[in-house]
Amino acid sequence: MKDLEEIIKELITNVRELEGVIENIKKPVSESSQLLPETAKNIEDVMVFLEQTSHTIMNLLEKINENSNKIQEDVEFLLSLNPVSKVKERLESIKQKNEENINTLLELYTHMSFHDLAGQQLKTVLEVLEKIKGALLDIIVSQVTAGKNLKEEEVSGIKGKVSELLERDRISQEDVDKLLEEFGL
Amino acid sequence: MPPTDIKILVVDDMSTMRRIIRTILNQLGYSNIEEAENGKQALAKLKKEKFDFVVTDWNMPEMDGLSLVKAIRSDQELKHIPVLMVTAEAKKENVMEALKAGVNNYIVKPFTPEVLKEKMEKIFK
Repeated sequence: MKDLEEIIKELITNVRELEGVIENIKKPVSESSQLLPETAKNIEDVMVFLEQTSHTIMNLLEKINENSNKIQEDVEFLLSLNPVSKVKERLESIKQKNEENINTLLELYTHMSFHDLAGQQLKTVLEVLEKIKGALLDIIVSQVTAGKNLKEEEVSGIKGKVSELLERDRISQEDVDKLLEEFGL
Repeated sequence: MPPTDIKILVVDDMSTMRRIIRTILNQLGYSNIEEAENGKQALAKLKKEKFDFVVTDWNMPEMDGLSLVKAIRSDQELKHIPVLMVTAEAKKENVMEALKAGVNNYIVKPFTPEVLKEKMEKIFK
């Protein structure tokens, strides 16, 4: 009778311990499975937006450049007609200012490479997120498997399952419970 | 400067960067320009058509610029093609590594049309 009582006590202790483990796992799995893909998606959206905006700006710059080239052509033509000195003077001034504008446009154009440089930094952030996901996965799996004498294949199975959940955009409570059930928790 | 009718291959995974380089080259008088998104695509183009000059980025998916340069330099048919690397990699060891791989010159992004012109002049001198 005393033995049975001890067994029951031990069982209750084990169940409480497991409940603690479940609570500890639920939180990071739910939070990170939601936050990490969301953050990665936001960064990817920023990259797409940057690219689209850069192309729009470059289209506008090209249009201005095209107009400036046309102005240049027309001014050259007018100058070739040997206008009176005052008109010639003004035309020379337009020509000079227009050339300055063309050079500024090209300079602006080259500054658009900020998109490439920013994009590379954002890619690095995405890589870091991927690494964080991996580290989190290891923490969760080690917590689940702690104290259990699991085979390597079983640990790898658990890892795969957690990783699968972390890949999704969102994870429902049902998913978490299902996962925990699969771990025998 | 090299003759303006040379055929140039611009390799970069960023479409905006390819466009910038193309526009600057156009301003310098070059219009025979083709584009590739990575080293693998560039290598396929180089083996298919004749190019006189390659402008490549370093960091690209599938095949990066450094691997492209190495592939070009180890190919009997392509090894003579001048290669200019245009990249954000600005460390001394990066430049050394690129030079060792066989690039003819190196530009750090962002760059001005004058810099591109100057490097091309040096390469084709």
